[in-house]
Amino acid sequence: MSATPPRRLAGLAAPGSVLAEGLTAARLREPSEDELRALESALAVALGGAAVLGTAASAATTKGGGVVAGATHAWVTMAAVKVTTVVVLVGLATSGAVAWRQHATAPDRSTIAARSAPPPARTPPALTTAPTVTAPEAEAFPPPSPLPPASTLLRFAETSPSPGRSGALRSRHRDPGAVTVPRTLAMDVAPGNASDLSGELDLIERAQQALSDDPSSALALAEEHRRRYDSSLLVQEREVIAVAALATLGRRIEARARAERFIRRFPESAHAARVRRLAAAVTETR
Amino acid sequence: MLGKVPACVPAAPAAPGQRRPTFREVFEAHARYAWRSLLGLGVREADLPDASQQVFLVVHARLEADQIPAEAVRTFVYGVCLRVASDSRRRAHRRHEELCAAPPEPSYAATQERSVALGEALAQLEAVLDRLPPAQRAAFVLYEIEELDMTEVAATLGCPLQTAYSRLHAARKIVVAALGGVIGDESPPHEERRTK
Repeated sequence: MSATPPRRLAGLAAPGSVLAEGLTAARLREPSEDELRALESALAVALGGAAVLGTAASAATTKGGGVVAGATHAWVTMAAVKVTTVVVLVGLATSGAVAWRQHATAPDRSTIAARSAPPPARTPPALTTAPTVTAPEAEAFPPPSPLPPASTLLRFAETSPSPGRSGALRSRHRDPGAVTVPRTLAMDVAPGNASDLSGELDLIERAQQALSDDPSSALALAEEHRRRYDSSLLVQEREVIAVAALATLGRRIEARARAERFIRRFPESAHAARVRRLAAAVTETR
Repeated sequence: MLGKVPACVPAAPAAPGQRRPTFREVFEAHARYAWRSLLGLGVREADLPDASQQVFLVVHARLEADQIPAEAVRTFVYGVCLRVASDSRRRAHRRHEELCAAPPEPSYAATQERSVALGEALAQLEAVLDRLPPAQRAAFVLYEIEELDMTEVAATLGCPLQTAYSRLHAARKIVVAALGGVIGDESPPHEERRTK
């Protein structure tokens, strides 16, 4: 750098001023471990699983050692607990972190979109059995949400970070001496019940894991998910798995039909690209 | 989305001899700030999971295609964030009507005053950022919050260095005018760059 860069505003702002505080807060924001894990899970599904990113569980294991081998399970459990109780402050005592709610102060951001995620359906699916893909599934559901799948995952309150992970993932820009912040996302959760959520996640994760070795099982698990949860929080993930399984099994027409339904229903999904690729692949091999 | 290469980043293969980072490495090194910069760039919190997923799907595709120079991963990721944030803001605008309910009242403990103050300050800062033209906002966020240096800012924005400086300067002027709070010698960035 031969040029002298301008001094950063944070260094020019009066301590305690809105400017200084706002910049400090903006610099210290970061996702909670749970949000990162949810992102990893969504990516694992979108990218075809462990081969690329590792599942949430295996990733946690590689980073944190044996301690976090059950991370996924813990995550699910925690999610389950939090879904039913709107907890504003979690882990305050142990982490020493103070929490706030951005909602309260940033109305522009504090939309309720996440909260408007469709609740897990309680109604029995119109079509209950048979892993056939001819069901007019799209019509059975409420209008597609414009939000791709990850938005329907839960948001969690920030808890005390797990040292193994957070150390590895710490941003290089983070100021080590800075105030511990403050980010509790309010419980932007869809209403639901604890056992449903953990059961759902469990099914989807098993289906994802089965995909490479045993696509028939993956498909069966996806169908089981459809029977039990219908249009649920993880409907997109399930459909991606089903399309991939059908393609692997050589059931090309079904794979394409299901892929097309997916694209119609979730045109803006983050998974749409993968589904298109799957559909294109089965078309080519015809 | 996956088909677009951010205009600001050269789609050149990695330099020979420099190992291409794995996707996991890139994710671990960049997920946190990508998330933060998306927020800074105006992605609403409700859209953040999707936006960050989009970012890394693009990153993955480009990594696979060997189109991210190993030494420029960070700039690349920021560039993707800019693009995704822009898409996200557009979509959010379209579905504006569904987002109007007031959030529930939070409950604060006395010990949280500090956090409350930070949160309020952040909200004010964001309200100002929301009024900036996107290019100015991006320059401000990348320099003042993400603390990139100005050459990186220019590379990420895909504009000449001078343009990056003037965008930053314009943004700072508006932010300072709105929030005040600057003490000491606030030399405008466009003057300092001439010291080169």
